[in-house]
Amino acid sequence: MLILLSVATVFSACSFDEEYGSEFFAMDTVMTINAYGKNSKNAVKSAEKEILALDELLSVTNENSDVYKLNKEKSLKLSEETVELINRGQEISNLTNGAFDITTEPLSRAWGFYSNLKNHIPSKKELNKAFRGIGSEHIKINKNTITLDKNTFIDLGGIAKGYASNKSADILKKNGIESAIISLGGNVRTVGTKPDGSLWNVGIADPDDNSKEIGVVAVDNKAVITSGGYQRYFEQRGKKYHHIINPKTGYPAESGLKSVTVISDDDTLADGLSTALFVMGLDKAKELYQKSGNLFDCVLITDDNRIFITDNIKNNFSSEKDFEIL
Amino acid sequence: MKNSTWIIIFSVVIVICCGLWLLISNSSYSFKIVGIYQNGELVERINLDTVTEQRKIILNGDHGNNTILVTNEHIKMESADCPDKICVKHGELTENTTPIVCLPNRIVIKFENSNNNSDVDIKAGAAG
Amino acid sequence: MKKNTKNLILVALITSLALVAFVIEASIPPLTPIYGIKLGIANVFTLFALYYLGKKEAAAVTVLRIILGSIFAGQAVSFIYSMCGGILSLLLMILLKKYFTVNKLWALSGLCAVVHNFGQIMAAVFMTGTIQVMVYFPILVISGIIAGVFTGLCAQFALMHLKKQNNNHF
Repeated sequence: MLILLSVATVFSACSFDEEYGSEFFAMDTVMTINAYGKNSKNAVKSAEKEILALDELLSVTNENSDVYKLNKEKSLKLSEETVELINRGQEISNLTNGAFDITTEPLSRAWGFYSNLKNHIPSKKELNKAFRGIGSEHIKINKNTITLDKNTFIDLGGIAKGYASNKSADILKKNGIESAIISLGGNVRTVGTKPDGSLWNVGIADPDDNSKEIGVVAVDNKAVITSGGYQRYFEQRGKKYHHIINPKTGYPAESGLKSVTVISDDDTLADGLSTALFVMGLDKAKELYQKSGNLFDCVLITDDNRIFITDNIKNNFSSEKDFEIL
Repeated sequence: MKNSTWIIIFSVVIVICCGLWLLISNSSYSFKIVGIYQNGELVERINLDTVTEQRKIILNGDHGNNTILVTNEHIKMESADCPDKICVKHGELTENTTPIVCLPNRIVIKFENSNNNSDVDIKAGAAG
Repeated sequence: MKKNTKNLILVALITSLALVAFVIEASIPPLTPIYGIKLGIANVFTLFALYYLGKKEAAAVTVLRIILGSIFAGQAVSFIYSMCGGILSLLLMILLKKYFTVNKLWALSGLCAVVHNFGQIMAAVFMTGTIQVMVYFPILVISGIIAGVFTGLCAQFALMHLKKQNNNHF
């Protein structure tokens, strides 16, 4: 009996899941990947490699990147990934009527929202100069050759992390991983379910106190991506200026929303849309949601602390605060 | 003593220990062991419960120095030379899902305990 | 052959067997994330030496196995843990031997394994300076009993088999 007992415990101990986690810096943020199951170490290592490779291609500041070279040369034949991402950027720009746009690089630069610049409020003249190249119509795509207008500069930062999490999720799945969680600087991607088969509980940061959660959404196989002005901002004369610039006004978006979380199968879309909805505000976001069908779900938090969620996730969302259906 | 006596003794001990283990793993008690990492490498591991005197840890990176303040049961980034100071604004390290991060100098301060009592697995937030 | 020489050879033989068992077990990845949960097959040989040869021989086998095992398979840290656990359980074994006949060996081994794990966890408390490591103690008691009873039975069967054979032959 005792032998049986000891053999049983040894076997049950063997079924303990293998787990591998990695934390690294890329795309100007901290990334963590945790995968469960056999082969998790290899899978995570390859995903990490892919993200670092994408960072090399897509960085605005790295002189060897596709994006840097294109901004300088204006017409180039680029790698497949970069072209795919530029296409996605154009598609999201069209979907959101330009509320998200990959050509806003000169605006971010004017406000100093790049790591090597100093934040400042740009003058009217600076903004007008920046506006000359903004808009999706300034990009021409011919197969793998991209051409920019003279005053146009692109920044794929608004969708690069979504694209990277999508690619890494694919790599994990290809390596046989059925359970993993990825966070690229707060952009969350879940692969499968938790090892025990239950849904992943993804907390949504409270925009007023980042160390707390304002709600929790339970998901599997989805990206959960939040945009808000509460993390990267600077203050001048008592006013806060955050980093999400409205491409139409050239100023930090003031749409009445404090935080936007988009939940979707499509990480790239979720990444771009979270920015776009933040710029568009509650009413236009609702319009877009109704128009686009089941493309995405979202959690919106307004400046006056009301929480709106879309109908599809009402059974998977929990919060100590009251929330309304969009 | 007979064989059966020993079987009973061992069984009782096993049952008691199972109970104790369940009690411990369900209690809200959590370790206050904190890891400080730079460039993904462990710099120091600190048990906040056993800190008696406050002390400062200074780390330097590409963007100047970061000063970490360790006191009994608390740890925070006291000052940093980096431009955005997100790590200083973070305040004290309070929970599992949000580590203190300084991106320019690649520093992460986080709890090391794996017995995460929170229901939340991960947190989505605006990128730092 | 003189008794001393015979014992010396047997100690060397048993130590090398224990070492092989230890190295093989160390090369298997840990079954659980908690450090310290393992079968401890090498303990079979300590028990065997204790009942077949004597106290001094058992002590020799244990100490030699830990020193050589740490050189072959481990680092300095694991040496300290092994020593603390190993010596403590060895002492208990020697003290209690007279109360346990061979057919109760499994019970003695269970007790010793618990004490062994206690020694290791105390070493961990001192090494890491964190008393909180003690929360693992209940789980280590359980694994100690199971592993100890298992290794004890192994030694017990070996000794009983040997005794039977000796009786038949001589």
